[in-house]
Amino acid sequence: MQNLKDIQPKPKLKKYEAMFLLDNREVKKGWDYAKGIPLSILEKNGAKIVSARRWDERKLAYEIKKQKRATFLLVFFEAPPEKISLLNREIQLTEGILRHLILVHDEFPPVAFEPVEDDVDVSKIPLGDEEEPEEPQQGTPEEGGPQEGVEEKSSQVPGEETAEVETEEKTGAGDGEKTSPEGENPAGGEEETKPQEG
Amino acid sequence: MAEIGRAKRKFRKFGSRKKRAVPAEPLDYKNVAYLQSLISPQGKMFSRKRTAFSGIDQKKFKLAVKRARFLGLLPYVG
Repeated sequence: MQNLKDIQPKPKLKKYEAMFLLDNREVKKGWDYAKGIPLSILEKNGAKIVSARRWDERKLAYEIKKQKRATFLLVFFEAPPEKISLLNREIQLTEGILRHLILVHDEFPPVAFEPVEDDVDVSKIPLGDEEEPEEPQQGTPEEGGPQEGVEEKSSQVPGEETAEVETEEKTGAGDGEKTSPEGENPAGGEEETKPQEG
Repeated sequence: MAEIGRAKRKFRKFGSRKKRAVPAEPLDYKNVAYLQSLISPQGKMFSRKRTAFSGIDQKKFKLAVKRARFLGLLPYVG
C-alpha cells in the first residue's frame, strides 16, 4: 500500500489576468518573438496559458523606462499561487517588458475565450523612444484664408471702382477728363500683377 | 413625560436624499475612455458627490484608475 506521505497533492491553480507593457523595439523584431518573452517565463513557472492577445499599441501617459509608447499584451493564465512572487521577480528583471500587472480572477471573463487575432503589422508600429512628428501648425491654413480673402477683396475693388466710375460718367455728362482715370485703373492693376507672375 | 422609543431625527442624514447612479460601463482599468470621463483634465478623480456612485462602485472606480495610472494609460498629473 502506498504511504500517504508519498502522495503529493495536486498543485491548486488559480486564475490570473496579466497585462504586459512590451517595448516597441522588441515588437519591431517580430510579434511572435515579443509575445514569446513573457509567455516563456509564464510557462517556465508552470502556468497554463488560456489566451494571449495584443490589447493595444498606444502612447503612454508618462514615460516608462524612457519609452513614450508601448504595446500592451493581455494574457489569461492559470498558475499555482506560490509561483506568482517568483514570476513577478523574473518579469521585473526581463528586458523588453516595461511594466506588468497581474490580477487574480474568480472566473475568467468572456474576453479570455474570444478568438485571438495575431495579424500584427509590425512595420507600422512606431518606436517608443522616438519623438513624434510635429503636427502641421494651424497657422498655415489660416495664412491661406486671408490670402483668399485678399484676392476676393482685390476682385471686388475693381468692380466697385467701375461702378463708381459709371456713376461718375452718368453724373459728369460727357466730360473727357473724368473718364481718363478709368483707363489708368486697369493698367495699374496689370502692372501690379505682372511682377508677381515674374 | 418622556417620549418612549427612538427619538425622531431632527435633520436628514447628509446625502440620503440623493439618487445613486449606476456606472454606465464596467469600471475596469482597460476601459480607459470611460474612466477619462470620470476624471478632471488634471487627472484627478471625481468625488462621490459628483459621480453619484455607491460606496462599492466608487471603490471600484478608484481601483481602476490607480491600475490604469500604474500602466501608463492615465496620467498621475495631467
